[in-house]
Amino acid sequence: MLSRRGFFLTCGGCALAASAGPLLPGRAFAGSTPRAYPARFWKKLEGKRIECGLCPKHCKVEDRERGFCGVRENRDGEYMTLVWGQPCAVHVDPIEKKPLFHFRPGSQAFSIATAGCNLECKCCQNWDISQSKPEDVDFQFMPPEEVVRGAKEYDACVTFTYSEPIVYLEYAIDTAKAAREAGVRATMVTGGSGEAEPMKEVLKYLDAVKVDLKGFTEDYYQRMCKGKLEPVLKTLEVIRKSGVWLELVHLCVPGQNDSESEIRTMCRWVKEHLGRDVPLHFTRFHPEYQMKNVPPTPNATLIRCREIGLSEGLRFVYTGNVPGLAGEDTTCPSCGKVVVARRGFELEGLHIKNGRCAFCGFTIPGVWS
Amino acid sequence: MELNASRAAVRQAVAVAGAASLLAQVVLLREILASSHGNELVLGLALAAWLCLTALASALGARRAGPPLAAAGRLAFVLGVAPLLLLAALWLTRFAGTNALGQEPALPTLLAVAFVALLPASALGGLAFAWAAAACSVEEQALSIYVAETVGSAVAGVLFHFFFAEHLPAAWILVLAGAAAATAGAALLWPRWRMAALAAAATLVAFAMAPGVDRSLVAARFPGERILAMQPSRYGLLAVVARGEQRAFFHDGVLLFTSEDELAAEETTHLPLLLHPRPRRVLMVGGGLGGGLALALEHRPEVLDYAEMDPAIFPLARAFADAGTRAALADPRVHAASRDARALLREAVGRYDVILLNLPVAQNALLARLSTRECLEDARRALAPGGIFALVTPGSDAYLDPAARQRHASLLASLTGVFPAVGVAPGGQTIFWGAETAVLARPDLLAQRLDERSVRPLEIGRAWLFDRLLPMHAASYRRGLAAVAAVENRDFRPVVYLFGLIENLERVSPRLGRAALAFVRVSRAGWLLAGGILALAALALVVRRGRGAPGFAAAASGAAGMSLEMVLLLAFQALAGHLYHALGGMLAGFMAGMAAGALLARRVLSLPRALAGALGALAAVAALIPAVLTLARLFPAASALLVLVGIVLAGASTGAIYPLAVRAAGHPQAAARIYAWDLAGAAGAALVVALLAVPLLGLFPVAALSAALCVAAALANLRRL
Repeated sequence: MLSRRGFFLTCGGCALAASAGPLLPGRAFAGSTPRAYPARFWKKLEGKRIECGLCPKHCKVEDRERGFCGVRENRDGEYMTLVWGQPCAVHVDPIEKKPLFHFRPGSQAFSIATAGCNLECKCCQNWDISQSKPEDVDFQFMPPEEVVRGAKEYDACVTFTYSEPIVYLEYAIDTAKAAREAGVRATMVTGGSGEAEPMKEVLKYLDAVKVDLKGFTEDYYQRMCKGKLEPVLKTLEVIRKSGVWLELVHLCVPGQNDSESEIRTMCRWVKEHLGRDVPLHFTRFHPEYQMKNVPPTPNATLIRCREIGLSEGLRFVYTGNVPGLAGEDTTCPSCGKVVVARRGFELEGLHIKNGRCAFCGFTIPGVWS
Repeated sequence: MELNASRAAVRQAVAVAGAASLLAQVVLLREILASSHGNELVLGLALAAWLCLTALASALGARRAGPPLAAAGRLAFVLGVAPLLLLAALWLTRFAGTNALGQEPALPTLLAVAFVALLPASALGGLAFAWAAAACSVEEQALSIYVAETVGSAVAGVLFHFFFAEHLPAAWILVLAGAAAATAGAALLWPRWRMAALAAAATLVAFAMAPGVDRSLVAARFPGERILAMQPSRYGLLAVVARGEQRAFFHDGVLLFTSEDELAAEETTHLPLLLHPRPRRVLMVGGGLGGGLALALEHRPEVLDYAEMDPAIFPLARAFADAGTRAALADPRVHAASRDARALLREAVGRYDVILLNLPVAQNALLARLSTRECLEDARRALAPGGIFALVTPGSDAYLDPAARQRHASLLASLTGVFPAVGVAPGGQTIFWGAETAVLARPDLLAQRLDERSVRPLEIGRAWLFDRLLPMHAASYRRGLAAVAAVENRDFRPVVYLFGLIENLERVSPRLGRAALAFVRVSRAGWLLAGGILALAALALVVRRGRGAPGFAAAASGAAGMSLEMVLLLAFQALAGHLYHALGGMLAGFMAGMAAGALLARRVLSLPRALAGALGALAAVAALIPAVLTLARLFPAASALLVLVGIVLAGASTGAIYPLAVRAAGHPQAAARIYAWDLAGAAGAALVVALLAVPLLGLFPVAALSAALCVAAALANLRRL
């Protein structure tokens, strides 16, 4: 029988062996402790509880807890954002990648994102940041001035994208403001699930917004995104009223949000509430995140959706994520000629002068200069 | 009802039960893998669950066995209902499939389904063994039961590998296995007309239900889809699904490629080929049937060799892929074949201008071996002067998550260890390249080559190239990789598949994924793991030195046997390629070795300290494995023979433990309990070794750990006769 002493000696030996050899010559776990900054758009409740007013979820957050987005924390009754100035993704992309087709075609977008999102889409392309907490990702400290400096270096606009800018709205507002002061344009790519007041605040400094209108039923938003449709529609109206350039994207997820009735209802709503000049992109779903084994959207679906949009009277309806498929070019509603020819990110022809069709002089809505 | 429980009949019954159980194991695991979209982690866990459940059933069966005649009756009954039991198990795997959104179930759901689905079939194996052992009350007969069960499993393994896997749907394999079991069970009953009636009834019902079960599985896997073809192959289940004009190809539920997806093919094909000024001889591995082959031909190569692992994919592609791919497959310049890419690279010294490996995220050693340093060295030798090697692997446009970053860092470290000049274009599909001298990857130059070759892609133009090759992106990407510790991916330490598994885990269970990564990124995590195993062994030594020592011996031999089997098979796979039939033969060799070892042990049953000696022998074999593998690497021509010798030796020394442990336990009724310990040890090893120890520690340390475990067990049994 092994004695107790023998047993402890054996265990000690094992522990020694465990500390002896290098395996993955270690570094600390990725992601440092994020800095906290005072958040805006919230109110105090009883005790130390607070209620977030940034998005329709209106999270009621206990002390030392966070809201749904995971990036805003209650610290002793004060709401703090953990992502201000701490982007985890910084890239320069073609503006067509956002996609913004009526906003300075052929220009660049200095794109930034932080961790966190107030939705949870099953097919999210950037799930590794949108569904992460700030401490789970590698981020860098990049205050607004530095973002603007980066954008200037690439002659690009600043774009808040990849994850959900609404959850880092304070950072977006401060950066967009700094950009405007420096003569740099600012754009936002969002799911649109925000409250009106915060949205109005950021819109003051934005030049264009692209909103993902993910579906047109409450059921779809609930099942696929853990969100609601109604607030998104309200946001769209707020943006349209603000005069900031707006484009919409509808990601066609096969069998989920691409029925003819849903697409038609959506197009009618867009025309009625936002106007027929708001560009609408039907983009191809690509297998991602928890829907990695669902095949991409068939081309025929995108073409059908575009035809529905056009038949409902929308003037600028595009297909996306499938270069070469009909529906990438901008056509003049008056003379029918192609005024912006595109192939993927490639700008193959631009026939717009001072915001007008170079062939017939018709005003093409958008930001062209 | 009387029983015809002769020794021979019981032996036959348990041999058939062993065969049916093994067939059920491989079929059900394959189905679970297909339903869960190729989640290899689930496969590892399910295999461990299978072994544990069989062990549990065996232990419980031993308690409820009763006298020999009653045990034989129970054995006959469980074999009689086998066809329905196995079919029910197969039907249950459908719940591991996607929901209506096409979304994978969460990991706990998958595991619960795997557990429930495996329960009936593993109960069959465990109970049959326990009751067969109880039916033979004499010690020597318990030994013959073990041998019969092992031989039955070996025969079933060979049958599955060489015939069933490619030619029969899952339900039919299980119904046939069940019918054989029912017949063997009925042979225990008397009079014989009743036996025939019972066997026939169970078999008929199962045969009648089989097509329905198969249909139900397909419907669950592809709800509401139009299925054009469903083809079992030696590597898994292939399916082609139609949605309008689009054709989607699946392997084990994993989406391989679709037609109408030229964009994805452009991204992975054009850039690597543009890097070379004149790619005359090109080798592509993977990624060709979704449009890549047709696009590669646009660069006007004189020879385009293409390798895919699974031969069954080519007829499906010729029938259902898009017109461009079908034309490419018929082009005389294209030599498409089912070949092991490693073998191809080894043979083609100085042959290719461009070698393009387009690989999914490696989640197993089979895929990981295509990006090891040794593979890259073969690729470097296969390049013609000025040649370029390119490796395409999934990445991210915006942010590379920590597990993916670790995987990319390993790939980059392996590349930089082999090629003097290495470049990278990070993105959704990240493209690495390596060459003897720096490659000019200027967007304007590459765009010019597009024009010169009259290639007009849909998306890959000047703007795309500028975006993808922006120095800022590469610099930021490299900075990100530099922040993590990079471990080279090696043949005998295929670390990338561990990160691939964690990447997949992060998608289905983010918290678990992060926790797993946190563990493996902790400094010296592998050695912590090894220390943990040894500490457990020491603990077992303390606890089990008394009455339970034979059980500990069985568990240790089960764990060591499973570990050595995996080490040898993985090494053979890494050295000689995934030679499907050879691997089948190796598995049969291990089983045959076990049977031979058990028979040999009969001669030393009465020798003092025989059990400790046998454990010492197993430890010695484990300690010898690194030497065997080193020789196999040094003499490739003899590698198959050396590994086969190693595997038979490992099997024999593992098989010898069982009868000695039963003898040491001192009573024949212990046969089923010892068997249960053996399986439990194997289950633990299957989980720890395949999922953690091999990628973290490598093959040699795993063999050394197995040896240490056996020494501990030998010490615990030193005083026993």
